[in-house]
Amino acid sequence: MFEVLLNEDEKKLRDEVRGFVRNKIDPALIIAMDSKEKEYPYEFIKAAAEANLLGLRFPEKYGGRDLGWVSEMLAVEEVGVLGISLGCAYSLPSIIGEGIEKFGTEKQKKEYLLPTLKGEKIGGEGLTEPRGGSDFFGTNTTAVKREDSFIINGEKRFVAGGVGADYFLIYARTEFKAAPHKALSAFLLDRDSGVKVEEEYELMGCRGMGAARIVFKDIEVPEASLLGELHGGNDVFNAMMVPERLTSAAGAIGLGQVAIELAARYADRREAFGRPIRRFEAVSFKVADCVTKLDAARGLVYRAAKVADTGAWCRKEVSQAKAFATDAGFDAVHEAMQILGGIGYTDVYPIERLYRDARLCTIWTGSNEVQRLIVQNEIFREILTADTTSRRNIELDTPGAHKTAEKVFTEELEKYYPKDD
Amino acid sequence: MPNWMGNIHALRNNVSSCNVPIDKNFRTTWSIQSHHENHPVWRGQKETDGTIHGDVVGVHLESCVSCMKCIEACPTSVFVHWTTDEWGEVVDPAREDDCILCLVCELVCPTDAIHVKGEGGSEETLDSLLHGA
Repeated sequence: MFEVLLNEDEKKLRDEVRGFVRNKIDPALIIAMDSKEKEYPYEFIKAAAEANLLGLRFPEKYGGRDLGWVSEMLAVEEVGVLGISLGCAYSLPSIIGEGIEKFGTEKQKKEYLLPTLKGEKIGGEGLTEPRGGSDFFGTNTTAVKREDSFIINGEKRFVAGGVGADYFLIYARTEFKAAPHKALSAFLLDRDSGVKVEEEYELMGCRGMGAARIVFKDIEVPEASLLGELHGGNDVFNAMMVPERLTSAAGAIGLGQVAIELAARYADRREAFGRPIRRFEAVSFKVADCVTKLDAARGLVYRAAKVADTGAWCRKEVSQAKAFATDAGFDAVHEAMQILGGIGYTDVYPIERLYRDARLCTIWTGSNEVQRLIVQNEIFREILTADTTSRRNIELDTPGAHKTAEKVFTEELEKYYPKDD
Repeated sequence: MPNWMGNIHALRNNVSSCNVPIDKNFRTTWSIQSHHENHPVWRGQKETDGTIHGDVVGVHLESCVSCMKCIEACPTSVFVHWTTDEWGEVVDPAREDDCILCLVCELVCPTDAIHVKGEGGSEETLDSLLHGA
């Protein structure tokens, strides 16, 4: 599908991951997770680590493959066909790893990143709190310095691996008077430092990932638990949001693609009014629109990946990709269910599970509304600060261009009020 | 309380903000002019914006119609009845430090004269999200 944009190495990697997804994952694991019979897919992580597929972007000495973002997107899209839970389990080492690899000390990389990519340690990410997730900088959790330690108090909600993870990358307020983006710090917190699970969530989809609310009550951690600079959480957050949102985007494409392919095959065989239902435009146009949107989503994801590979600021591209690709993924599953009709609403086909999964894609890792907020902010900044001297001024390409009196942008509210004498 | 009835000050001084909702951004766009009962007294940029007492619990005095519903509703007795020459009968958030952010005062106020400061999120945290790099 995107053959024309991929090099030989990238195609080879995609085929390798496709083979892993096809051959190494027992359907029983997916079913057990969705049936709430699994705490965490440890065996999946072990298998992916054995195949050296975790954290592909990271240096080989920490267990990665030194590959680029495009390669990782290809891999996540392939894993995404397994559903959002395993997509999440596969992406977490990349998301948490980004924070550790970019900001961690050598010791932290050896103690956390290496065993994570080897499948020996599971990491969880504590970002969302009961009071909110998208409004990240309002974080209420605190870490107060006491001699050589920090005392952490607070709680994090919807933590994948809240049950099951060995350690957590969390954010806490360490400065109480500075601007919000200069007030937070990131920490690596072992579960056995005193992290308590207070709620295990019953989820609509994305099951089997130990989603929980975890609580920190006067947890004392050594200074060395700080990840990156003190009050430097903003930098860690911005770095981690690249893999967080790009993996969400790529995973949703994989999930949407297999759903609409299943529906297309169904529509080719299923008959109504004496012909296969794909002969009705009401059905076939759904397939056309969904696949077009998924291809457009790939365009955005791979463009963002290319920019990320350069190391440049890519928040606009990442947020565009996240919002568009997860909307496209959900649309594809939604229309796939419509094409299958009633049987798509049963567990005879996996569309209902993928539907429950896909619904989360537009909410998590920064809701799509927040992505659009970010995108508009970046776009307005780009447009309003752009040097337009080399561009044609199209405002002049109209007969009324000289009517400056008609180009009204604001008026005094009290312009026509009666004047007091 | 008929909605045309503003407080005495508003009627007397033809303040355009009489019976308009409190400006919820007053903590960032208004300025503190003085203090009263340990809370700040805010003035808007324009004379007609009026006056807000309080920080955690802001009361726009020109919008207050002295119905005293907030006094009855508040579980921690944040508000007191206050008679002044300038505003007449109004409420003052004299014990705003006791506020538990239940927001019941906002709910019962018939003129939206009260705004309670939210915890952990604000225009500032939005700015950090959008411009914090």
